[in-house]
Amino acid sequence: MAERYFIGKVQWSTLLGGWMEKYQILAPQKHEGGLFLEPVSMENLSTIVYDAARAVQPLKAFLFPALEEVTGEKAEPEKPWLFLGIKACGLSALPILDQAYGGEFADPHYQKRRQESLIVSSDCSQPWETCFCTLIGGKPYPSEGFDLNLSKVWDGFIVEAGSARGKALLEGHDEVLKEVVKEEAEALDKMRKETVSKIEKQNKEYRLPADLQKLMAGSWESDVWKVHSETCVECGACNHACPTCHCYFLDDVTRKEFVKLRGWDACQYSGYAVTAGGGTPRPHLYERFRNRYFCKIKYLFENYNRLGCTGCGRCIEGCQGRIDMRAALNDLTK
Amino acid sequence: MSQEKKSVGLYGFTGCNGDQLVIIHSEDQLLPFFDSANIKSFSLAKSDNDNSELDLAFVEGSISSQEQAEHVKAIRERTRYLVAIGNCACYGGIQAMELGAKGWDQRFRKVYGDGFFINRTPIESKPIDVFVNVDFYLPGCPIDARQFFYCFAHFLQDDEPVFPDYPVCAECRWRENDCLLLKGELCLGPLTAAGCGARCPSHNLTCLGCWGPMKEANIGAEFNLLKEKDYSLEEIKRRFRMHTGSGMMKPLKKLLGAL
Repeated sequence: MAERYFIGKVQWSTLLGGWMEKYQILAPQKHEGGLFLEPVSMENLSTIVYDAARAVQPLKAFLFPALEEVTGEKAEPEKPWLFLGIKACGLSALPILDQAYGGEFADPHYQKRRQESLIVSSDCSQPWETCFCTLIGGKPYPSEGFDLNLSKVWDGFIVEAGSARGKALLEGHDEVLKEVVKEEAEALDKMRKETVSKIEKQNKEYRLPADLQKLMAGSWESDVWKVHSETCVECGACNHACPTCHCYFLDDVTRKEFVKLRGWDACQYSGYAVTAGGGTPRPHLYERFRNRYFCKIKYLFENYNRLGCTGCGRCIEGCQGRIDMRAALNDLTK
Repeated sequence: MSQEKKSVGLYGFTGCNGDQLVIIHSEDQLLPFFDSANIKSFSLAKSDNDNSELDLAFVEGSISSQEQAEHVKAIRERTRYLVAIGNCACYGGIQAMELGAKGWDQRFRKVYGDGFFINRTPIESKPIDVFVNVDFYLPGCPIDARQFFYCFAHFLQDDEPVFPDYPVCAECRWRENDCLLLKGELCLGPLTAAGCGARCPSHNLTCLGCWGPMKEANIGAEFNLLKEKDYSLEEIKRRFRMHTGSGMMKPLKKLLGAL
């Protein structure tokens, strides 16, 4: 068992208050339309929603922003970020972004932000209707990828350190970190089991095989792509909301000096992947639609050894055409 | 550069001259603009316009008389490239929205009565490409200055400019706006070509479609979606045809015929 402690809610808030000086803390706050990651100050410290479910914005909205200048000197953020209340579905997206923007051709902007920021994740307990992490092999609580993880138990949290930086955060606060007693550990297990069964229950109409690769292998010619893409208006919301989608578009702007902008791209647009001369590998909507599923389940898995889908349900939530990834994958099994 | 400067002409037909105005209003670009080419004709900016041979012609406005049709054909004959600028030239604009189902003759009479026209034989307003070959379309109502100078610079280098086929939604997300369609409003973002920088949605106003239709847009899906949101057929049709006239109405008619 990793290093873990119990900490009271008030004591935790005091800790946070202390970290504010060094970090820009971003945490979920409740607004109309869901939870939004917002800067934390002394004023909104008490309204942070720790447990509940994932926020509207994926982590990539910060690490790989929707639009940014990639040339010239960049204004440095005053403090590194500390993300609070990130759920397991958010954490499991990061290895994909890390690999896409790391390695031989590492992206310095992404790498800098990623390496400087800290992630304090938390267990999910009130999944949205669109959540389906368990269906795709995930869990609503994290087991890796965090610096600290919080599990809400009674009037406090079980805090688990997942990295050296996480441990360092807790250093010198021994007086508020208590040993986890048996009852607390049991309450945690119960809460986690309940959340899992909640998510399983709301997805009980969908059944996916354990081997998704096999499912995809036989589905290239399936009618599912045409049927499910019928209501797609090609707005690209599924791509932009997805925590693992990382395709970008570069645009030149002439200001006083030459500037290159990088913005989120979307493979659902007819202009995506168009080559010089106007050729496109996917001229039809159903082909672009199919590409997203193949990318998430097959291509990313083959290249990065990770599913591109974390079951966060953002693509379902943001879709105008009420296209449901679960239903599409489920129909592939028929 | 030792290369000879290219000859360029800018022309306006039926429209508000808003596209030429956008160019004139780009003060910080005007000196390099006039310096980089021989501007032979620019009806809104200068008076000594001539009818000489051109490398590049920018044409704004729709064609709404026999005489204009002949004029645009004459321009085509003496230019190497012809670029339609603005929605009126590209898609016919507001004057080509074909509002009222009774046909052009009756619509025309309702507005102008039985009066006569001096030196002008009115015809139904149509986009430029009904009469001549168009090499490049630069839509917008009005056009975006940045897109225009980008396009202009490319043609000066004998290069075809590229604007990717993205909908307004792409630019809207780059600005991190809330989705108006998801809120149930009549927004044409997914159907409309990008280029404006999602100006309206960034001010919480729905997209009116003033950049014209996006290639390969799924008009049928959006149409059904809006109907589900309880917008009447009339409302949807009015919004669809407002800025893009025939550009959006052609596919819509095809769709309604099929429904």
